[in-house]
Amino acid sequence: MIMFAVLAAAVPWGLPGEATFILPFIAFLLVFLFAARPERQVPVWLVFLIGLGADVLTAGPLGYWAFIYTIGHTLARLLTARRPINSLSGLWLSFAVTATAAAAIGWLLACVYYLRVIDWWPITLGVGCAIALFPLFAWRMRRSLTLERYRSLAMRG
Amino acid sequence: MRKGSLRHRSETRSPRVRGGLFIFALFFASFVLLILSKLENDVVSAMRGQFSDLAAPVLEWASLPAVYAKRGWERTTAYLSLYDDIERLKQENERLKQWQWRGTRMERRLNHLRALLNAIDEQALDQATGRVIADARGPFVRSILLNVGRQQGVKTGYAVINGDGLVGRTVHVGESAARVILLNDLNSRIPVLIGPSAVRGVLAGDNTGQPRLEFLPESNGVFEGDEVYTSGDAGLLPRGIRIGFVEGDNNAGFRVRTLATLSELEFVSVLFFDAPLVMETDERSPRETAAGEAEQAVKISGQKRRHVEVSGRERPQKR
Repeated sequence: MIMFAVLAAAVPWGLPGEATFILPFIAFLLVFLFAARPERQVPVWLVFLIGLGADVLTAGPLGYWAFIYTIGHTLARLLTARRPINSLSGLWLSFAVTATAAAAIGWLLACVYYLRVIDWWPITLGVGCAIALFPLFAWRMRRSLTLERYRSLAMRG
Repeated sequence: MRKGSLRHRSETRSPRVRGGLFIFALFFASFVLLILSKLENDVVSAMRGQFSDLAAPVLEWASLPAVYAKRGWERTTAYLSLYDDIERLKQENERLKQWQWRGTRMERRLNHLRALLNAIDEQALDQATGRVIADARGPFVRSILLNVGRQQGVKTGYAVINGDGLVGRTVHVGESAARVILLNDLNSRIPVLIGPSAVRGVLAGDNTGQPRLEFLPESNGVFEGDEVYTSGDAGLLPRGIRIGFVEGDNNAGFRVRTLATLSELEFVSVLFFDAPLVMETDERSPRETAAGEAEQAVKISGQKRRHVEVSGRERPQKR
């Protein structure tokens, strides 16, 4: 599913120039979702390779999206390691924080790579759209999230 | 083994430590690749080219839904504005008829003057037309992937045009795919001529919709609406390919509204312009001797080829 998102990012949809970050960040959203839920985990090395694939298909600096996606995977695992997040809103907030951090790191990295101040608007738009679309992609998980919440409540009670 | 003993603690911790080290190694590998990519390492470039070749058939197939969706949308909007378009086209047609008559007269006069001066004809340009199969408008790149490559005779450094004007030039060429850097890419620099006084400048992309003009002379004589076209300097691109029109002013900086809509490319043509600089920068191109170059010139003039004017419009074949 993540690979399809990466392929979609490379396909010529005719989107305006400012929207170029939206599709790669949709793939980032999927990386986060698969990393945050124990029953759906994707290994980090696979995420790294998918990021490399995105770099080659989008003709960007090699290693850039590999780095960003690995950050997303690592942060998702760190946030959910001690205490799994059992609500959609909690997961959404975690994603918002992760995506914003990854975008900021990505922007700084790009400025260092190109030795100039890169326009921040396209990356902000991409992150904003990914955060706004998160519930759509996480909708399928609501059932497993609800079941886990009841299970943890039952264990406490 | 008791919980909390040193051996127990180290055994529970070691998979986490190994996992952490592995993730650190991946981050380190990303940095190394970024550095190699910045240095334009040959191995990295070759790897990219090979992967593009492998991915080209998949991308060609994957891009079909996007192409049909785009066409469907364009047709729908076209139907909705049909009446207005017809009126506009009727008026444009009347104006163009006058220009056609003037153009024919000027062409006849030009041919007559050429014959008088015994001037040498412009080099005939072959071309290969390809479809855009990937829109590599990644974070900081404005490029496209075409489904034509070395097998069709494409080389690095060739100009790419569509029906409206210059679109970019090829930067990586594989066997069956080629990557084209667009005019508005951060790394694109094209020497241009501006306006009727042919002011020299450089068209520099900055990832926005309109590339800017740089290195203009102090009292430049550039005005909004002036036409911009390639200068042919350094022998990279053919001279006279239309690019767009100037917008802006001297204070805010001049930008160019490109004739080609760079975000909506579907079919483009690669012009085979083999200037000496192109032959030197493309590693796979044969090193032709002076005798070889003469032989090539004879072949071009002797064979029937499609002649393409540098503005991108086809000229009828000579009979």
